[in-house]
Amino acid sequence: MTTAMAMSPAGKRRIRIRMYNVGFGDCFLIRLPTKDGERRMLVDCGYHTNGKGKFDDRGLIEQIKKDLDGEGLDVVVATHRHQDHISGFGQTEQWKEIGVEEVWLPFTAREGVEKEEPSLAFWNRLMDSAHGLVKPDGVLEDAAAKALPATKSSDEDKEALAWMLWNARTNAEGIANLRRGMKRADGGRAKRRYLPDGKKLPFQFESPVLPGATIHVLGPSRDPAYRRKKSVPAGWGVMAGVAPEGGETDSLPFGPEWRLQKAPARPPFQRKSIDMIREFNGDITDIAAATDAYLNGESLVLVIELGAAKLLLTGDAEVGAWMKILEDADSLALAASATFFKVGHHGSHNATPLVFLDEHLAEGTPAMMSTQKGKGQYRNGIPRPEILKTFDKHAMPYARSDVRAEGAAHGTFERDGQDRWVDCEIPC
Amino acid sequence: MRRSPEQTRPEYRHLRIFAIDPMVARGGEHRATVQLRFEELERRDASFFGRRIEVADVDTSGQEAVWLEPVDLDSAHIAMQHGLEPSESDPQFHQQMVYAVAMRTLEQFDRALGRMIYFKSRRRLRLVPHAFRGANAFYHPKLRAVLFGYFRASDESPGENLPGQTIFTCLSHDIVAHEVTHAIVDRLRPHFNIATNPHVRAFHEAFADIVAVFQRLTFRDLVQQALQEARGKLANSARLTEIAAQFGQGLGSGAALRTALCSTKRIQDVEEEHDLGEVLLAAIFDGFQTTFDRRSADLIRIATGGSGILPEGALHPDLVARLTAECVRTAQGVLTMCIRAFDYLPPADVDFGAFLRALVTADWELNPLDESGLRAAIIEGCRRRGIFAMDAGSLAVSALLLDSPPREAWSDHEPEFQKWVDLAVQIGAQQQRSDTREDDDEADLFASGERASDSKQQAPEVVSSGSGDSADRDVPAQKQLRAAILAWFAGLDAEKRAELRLSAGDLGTVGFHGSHRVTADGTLRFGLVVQLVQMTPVTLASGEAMSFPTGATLVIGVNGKLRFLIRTKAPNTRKADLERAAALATTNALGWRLHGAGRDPFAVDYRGMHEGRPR
Repeated sequence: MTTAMAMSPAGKRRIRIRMYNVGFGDCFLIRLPTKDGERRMLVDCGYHTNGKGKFDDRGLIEQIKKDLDGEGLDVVVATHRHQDHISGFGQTEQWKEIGVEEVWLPFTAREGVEKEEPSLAFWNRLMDSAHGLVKPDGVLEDAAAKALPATKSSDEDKEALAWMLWNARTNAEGIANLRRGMKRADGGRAKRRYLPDGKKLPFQFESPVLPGATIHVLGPSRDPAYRRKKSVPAGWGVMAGVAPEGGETDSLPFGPEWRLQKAPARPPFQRKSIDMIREFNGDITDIAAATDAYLNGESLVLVIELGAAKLLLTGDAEVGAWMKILEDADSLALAASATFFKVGHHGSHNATPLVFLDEHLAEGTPAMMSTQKGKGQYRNGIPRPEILKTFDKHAMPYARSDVRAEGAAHGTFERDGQDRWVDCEIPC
Repeated sequence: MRRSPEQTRPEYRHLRIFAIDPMVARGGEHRATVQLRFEELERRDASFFGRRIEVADVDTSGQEAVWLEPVDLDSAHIAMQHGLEPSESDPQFHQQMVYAVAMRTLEQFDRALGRMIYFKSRRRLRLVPHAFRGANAFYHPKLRAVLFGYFRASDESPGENLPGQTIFTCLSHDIVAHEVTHAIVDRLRPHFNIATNPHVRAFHEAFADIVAVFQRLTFRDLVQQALQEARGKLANSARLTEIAAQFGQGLGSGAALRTALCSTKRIQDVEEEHDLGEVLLAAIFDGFQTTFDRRSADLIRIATGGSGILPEGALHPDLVARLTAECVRTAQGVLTMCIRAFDYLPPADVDFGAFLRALVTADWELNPLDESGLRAAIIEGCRRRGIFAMDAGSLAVSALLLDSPPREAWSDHEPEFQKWVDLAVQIGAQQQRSDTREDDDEADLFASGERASDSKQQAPEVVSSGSGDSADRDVPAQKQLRAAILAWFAGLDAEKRAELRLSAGDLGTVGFHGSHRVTADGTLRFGLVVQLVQMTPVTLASGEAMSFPTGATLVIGVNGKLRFLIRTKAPNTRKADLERAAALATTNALGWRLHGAGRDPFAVDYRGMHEGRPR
């Protein structure tokens, strides 16, 4: 069998990855055997209140502490600001007991970033609004329920809306902890990196806390166009049964014969007014969906390179972020050479281009998917069966956090007897 | 009468509209032709406009804004057929429809108030029939525009619509009338933009519904057909209540209105602002229905030889025509009465009690005997729903009439007030002359380009000024009157100011307009209505420093007598209301000012208001 693992040099050193079963969320503890000894990295720490797994926030951090066994974390990564990735960071008291050397965040999470990129102010305002529209327990506020148009007011619609809005709630404590709170083991201030720290992707850096490792940042792009919601392109693979996505259609109700052929010389509305009107497009579900996708689009996409290993960590990156990767030869080469793949966005249809699996990623590359199958529009088709089938087609062993996966070659993974986590080892 | 071959200017312009929304009713008569006073329309490359309304058809739903060709309603081919044929697929018909309904609504106000209603600074209200993609339509004060959305009906549960059909909110008569009414109310009482108690927003909504519902009930052909089908019984007429219920169907709230019209909910039973608004609407509709039944009872008796029991089968068309006339007359009466109430409302912090008193007073002044019984029926409708005027003591008409301040209290000021009335009469004359002036200068006067300051502030403009407050467009007498009022106010002692709910310091806003009323003996009386408002600071429990409007409306007679003094509630009694209003505002659906800095909890959010309509 020509798998990626079989082809890698048979070194003794192995990266150990633990995927916690947080339900609908992400939390990965990665142990990197650097030349200066083991270094530990936590990628995300959260779950969705309506899709719980084996832990609550408190319990999750207790478990992480236990697993660290008195050691600290060299790197904490928060890929993006969705609750299901950062809810646990709000447990500030517990975090005081864990030393953290560096915190890596997407550049969009930097305080005052609106000054350099005004378009972010809009999204931050939307997140602010989302916060007030859903209760902490995930139930819609009346105002939000009533804002649903009649054509979208079924219980399912409400649940889907609540799902997206809750996820976009601002986690003020968590964000503050990430930006300012976490302390090094020696009590000093943890170093913050807002990534990419430049305009060009892939952006590359090394960190003293991960000696010998190279970090490649493939997203988020500084270009807002790659962070907005986009429909899944036709060429990405079969997406049968996925409802057409709103908010992005070119079909205007009236054809060109009704339109002015050139811009009016004395328009009744000036540019700024038109932009104000533009903000009203879409109803609350469109807006919630766009916010949801936008936040996913902020995801840090990293390739952690250590020795022969390359870990591709995608956060919840969606279509736009993937377009950027597929368009850029350097980024694509890095992603394609991954020896481990963290499946994006819990296996949703719009976060893993099948074309990437089919044509770029090496046969046999192991993958991990933190997900939770469930009912409801939002989770409809998560994880997407086509993705699982494609893994099987290319003999890529994969593990799901929620169920013991069926399919090819699962021997790579070791599952906790109580289904609290799945472990995986990647040679490096 | 024409006096020369050149005189071809028509008196009226007729335009066809959908009277029942095409998205709801396909069968039956669902068109109407409205008759508007003729005005010249001007066409620019991306809009057409008259004196008060501009229709600008820009669609912002795509990557780039798309401008649609404006219709030329003066084109002979279009004009000779009473405007374009109503059609969902013709965007130029949509433009015609919003223009026609908006003008019809404005004319209702003109007629009821006896003066032309211009928007602030005499700038036009802009109607945008296909502004954005979304199941909503709203008045945007800052853009001085009404923005209409459009959306696709659901593929799975389209309701009465075709699956996936595009639904245009601008094709609903009621939505257009409702939104334009918001704009007019904002003009007449700018401080109603500040929701200082739960009734303020509720009043805004209810009043816009009242105008939409009763204006629709004046479409003769429509009513006639409905009454024929319902065999003359308004109460039993699903179709007639459905007619009213059309409003908001496009926004998904039609069912609510249908039940609201017949609802017997009491004001004490509901908390939420929209529910409150529906109580007021139901009370007024109740009064209308009672009056119509009473007015039609004799007709039915005549038609049935005194038994009052109608025979089986279709009604005689003559009877239906007479019943229709009563229905239309009564609906028009309700509409006029409600609009006339505006001159007697406090300048801010309105509540239903204040509206009831204003309505009764306005009607009593015009029609002291209430021969139709309409006034009494509306009072009864309000009584059943617990709408009282707390300060009136009882629901007797004499108690509900607004109080006249003791004459001696203001007699010293009567000579001054009399001067003001003289100026108001001059203003009326000067304005009428400028209205009829041939209008080359006005192209400039009404230039539609925005002022630079318009788009700077992000927050919607909350407080705009009253009618006398736009110095650059004023006729000379207006400037004199404003100066006179300010000078008078400067000299007013603290005690008198307190009586007007005003304190030391300058006036925030002065609004005024002349009034003309025909008294019971048939003579025309001039008068003047003045609004004086100050913003009073308050610190909320949350620590937030806000300000809220206080002041009074002065209704002054031709002899300088202060006929009515309508004041906001005493500031010290309003704290609880303000706290509550502030708390409510933070839960507005998609209210942009929820948590952000600079939010104004009292600002009426027209957009959120509609998205929050209950089903």
